[in-house]
Amino acid sequence: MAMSYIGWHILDRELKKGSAELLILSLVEDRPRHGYEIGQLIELRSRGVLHFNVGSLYPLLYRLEKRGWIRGRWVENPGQRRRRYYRLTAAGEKVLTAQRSNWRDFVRAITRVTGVAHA
Amino acid sequence: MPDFKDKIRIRFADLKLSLARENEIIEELSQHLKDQYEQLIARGATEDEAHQAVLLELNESDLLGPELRRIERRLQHEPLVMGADGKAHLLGDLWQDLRYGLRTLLKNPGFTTVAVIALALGIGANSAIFSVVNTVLLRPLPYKKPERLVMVWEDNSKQGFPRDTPSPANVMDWRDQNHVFESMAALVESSFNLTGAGDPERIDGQRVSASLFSLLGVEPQFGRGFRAEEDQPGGNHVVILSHGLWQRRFGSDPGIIGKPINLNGESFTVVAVMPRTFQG
Amino acid sequence: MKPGVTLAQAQAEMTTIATRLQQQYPQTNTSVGAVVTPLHAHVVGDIKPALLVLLGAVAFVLLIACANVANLLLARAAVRQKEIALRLALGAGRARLIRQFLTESVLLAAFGGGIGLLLSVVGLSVLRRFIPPNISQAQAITIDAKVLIFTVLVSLVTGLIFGLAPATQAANFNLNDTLKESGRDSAAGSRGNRIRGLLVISEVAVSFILLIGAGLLINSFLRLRNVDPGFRAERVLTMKIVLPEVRYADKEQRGVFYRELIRRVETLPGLISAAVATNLPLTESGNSVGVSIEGRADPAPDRVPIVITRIVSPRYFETMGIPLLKGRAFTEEDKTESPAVVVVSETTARSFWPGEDALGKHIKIGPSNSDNRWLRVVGVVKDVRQFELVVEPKPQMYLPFTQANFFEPRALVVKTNLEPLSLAATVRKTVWEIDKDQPVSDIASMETIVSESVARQRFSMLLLGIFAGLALVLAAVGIYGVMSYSVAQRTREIGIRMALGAQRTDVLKLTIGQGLKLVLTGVVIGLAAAFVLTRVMSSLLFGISATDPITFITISLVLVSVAVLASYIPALRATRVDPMFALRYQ
Repeated sequence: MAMSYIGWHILDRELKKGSAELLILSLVEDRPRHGYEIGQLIELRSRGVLHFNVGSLYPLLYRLEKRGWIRGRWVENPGQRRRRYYRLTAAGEKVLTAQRSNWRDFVRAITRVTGVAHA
Repeated sequence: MPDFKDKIRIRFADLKLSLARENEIIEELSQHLKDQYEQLIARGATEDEAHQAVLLELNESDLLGPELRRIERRLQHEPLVMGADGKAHLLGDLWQDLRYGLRTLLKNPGFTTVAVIALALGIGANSAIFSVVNTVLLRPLPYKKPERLVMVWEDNSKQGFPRDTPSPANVMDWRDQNHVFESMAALVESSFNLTGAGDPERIDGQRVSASLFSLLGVEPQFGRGFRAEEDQPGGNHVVILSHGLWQRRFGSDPGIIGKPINLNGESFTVVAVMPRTFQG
Repeated sequence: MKPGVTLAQAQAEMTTIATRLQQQYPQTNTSVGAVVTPLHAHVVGDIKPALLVLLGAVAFVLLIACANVANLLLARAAVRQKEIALRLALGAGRARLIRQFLTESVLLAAFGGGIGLLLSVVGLSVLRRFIPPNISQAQAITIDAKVLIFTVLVSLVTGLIFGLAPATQAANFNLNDTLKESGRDSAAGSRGNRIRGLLVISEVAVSFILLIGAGLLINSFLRLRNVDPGFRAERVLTMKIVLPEVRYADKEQRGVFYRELIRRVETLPGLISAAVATNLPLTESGNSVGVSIEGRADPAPDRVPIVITRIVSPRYFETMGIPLLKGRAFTEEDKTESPAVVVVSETTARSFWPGEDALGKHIKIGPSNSDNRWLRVVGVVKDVRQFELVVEPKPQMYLPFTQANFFEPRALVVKTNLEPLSLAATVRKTVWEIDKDQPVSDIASMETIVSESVARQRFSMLLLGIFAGLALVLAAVGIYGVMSYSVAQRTREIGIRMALGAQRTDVLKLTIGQGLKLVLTGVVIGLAAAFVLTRVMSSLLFGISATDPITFITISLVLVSVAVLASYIPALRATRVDPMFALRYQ
């Protein structure tokens, strides 16, 4: 992931991408899903705020796959088209867990600080 | 059901992916578009509307090519750079480092531009000032043994002239009594009215003792230097021209030696012309 | 000098000889010494201190640029942690990684150096015009092999300097931390923040020093331009006319030429008055003589009062706009055979006859028992800065050209109604009408002469000003970058604060406060450093001290406002963080 910190719009995009990465990881946590399904779910769960078109979703998936956090596999179900399903790998699971606990710590810390400041 | 594969393939034309990988990606993406198409139809869109909407989505994805290029390229090349420690491959490694570095820089044009501009300004300013310092302060004077050349002045600080032109008598005494100088030459800045062909002109010059040129280690371009007897008062009015004056005023006349010129209303004989590089 | 003789030995020898000569010839050689200076120093002249200050200044500019690039690299290193983690995990050695990072930064520096070299070529062609004309070799300044090597070395060292911090930081981070975390809030990140803070502080401190230097020079230059030279340079045309002794052997002939020249020139249209004089102010050293004062014993030879002497024709003061304070100026009636008169400057009057009226007093050139005539003071004029604008006026006097027989007028000055140079050709033609073989040289307006006399000061002011401006821009960009990055890092925190009720102003205060803290620290450090460093340039200053409080305060204000502006824009962005977006982060 490359980021120049010069422009806010770039930052904004990167942040969105970062949060989307985590969204994707949590979406494939319980069961494997294919790309179209993941796209639909992101849109649904972000209540329409985050929309990923083909051009941004698949590069993200390939990136996560390249990092070894998810793995895709072609699955042919009877009566359906061949689809590529992505599942969470062990490394991806670690990243997801760490990120979640980190997030909880962060929220707690901020609440403690701002709770005093804005009580 | 429209087929989107060709539309996708066009976008990958210059990515140079392996055929298998390209087919795989194309298949996956076209599946996605088909899903979208079907969903739109299911929601009541006409086939035409659905087709247009899906194509629009694909056309919006102008980042698709570049993004994929970044991800897929890295997959192909990065392993080459990694883990290759060992002195045997030092040069090869360096080459790889350079290529990898160049790619990283090109991938972040914003960062690279800002950094290069900042550095260019900083380094440029240093080069410019250094070239002034180099020429003015560091470059040795174009004379023989420049580090052993010194100026000797009369010090009349009490009267406000710490570096005064010495009186001829003092120069003689200095020259005869010292043990530290190899030789000593005297010069006085002066200027002369040059008349003759063309407009009369005031030119800067120096009255010098005969030993000056041998002391500086410079030879005239042609002609001869001053002779010792010409140092005596009432010597025979001889003059050496600078290269610039010879070119400008005398049209680079090669036969100038021996000709008279008029300075301050008196006739002087030209005995030499200095080389272009000599700047009094 | 003979081989192996040092400058100090040569000076010692010459001092011995000069002392011996003093004892031998007390009349002529009392307090006459001998100085030995390297020929090179003579050729280089007094530009050396200015050049050294400038060399320091550009080094500072480069330091700031380095800090900026190091900042950018740090920000990128934080982002690239995952890439690094991956490569470490795949077995790349840390040394290998550091080398990769350094290769990248040296590559950057190489690009910078290449473009910088182009910039310096362009810059030099501009610079050449501002190098004071009395610096020899100024036109010979070129980019030679030495400059090229210098540029390559500077680029290389630069690349290593600004690349080292991010490279070691990137290679030292904890593999496990980064694999677990997103990399944005890791310990390495906060260490990066500390380094970034330090970089901002040093950028501010260094640009502060440069700005102070430039501020002092600009201030000096303004003062210099405001110095009253003692004459009015507007619409005065000057030229040099030196009569050769061979053709104008006696004083009478020369007098005829000058009188005829002035008469003809004054009838030309557009010309108000004309005069001749020995030396013009601010051109060359000119003549000085020792004088004795009537009614006082002659002082010891080394205490004889020295007076700058100008030989002038009647309407010189009028033409040059030198105010007459008392008495009268010279007239046509001051003929060779009339009583000898002199006009003195106010400093002469004050130092020769303190508390007395100078008019009617007498002075003589040379010792009081010499054959020279006593000169009666008939007028007092304002002091003129004869040598340099920066030098306080010394005692000076004026003699009528009809009565002085040791120095000859060499300059013609003309007061005009029109743009002075437009009349140059006409005046020159008039000279040639009288004598077709008489050269006319150094045609210039008096205003040009004044402006050229401060060329050296203008040169250093201009360059240091440009470099300080450059430093300010680079520092502002650096602050902006660091603040943007820090705001981006704290998006979640800011979003949560705002969700919990913080107002936009609170957020603004928070972020600007953070930037301001760094900037103020930098200013304080810069202040202390500038206090010490500006002393080296006191020889370049005029009329103000190297620690001029007004300059220091103004520059502090300028720098702080620029810095606040540079952190205000990212701060404003921070207030636009949508709380919902920040909270939805995961």
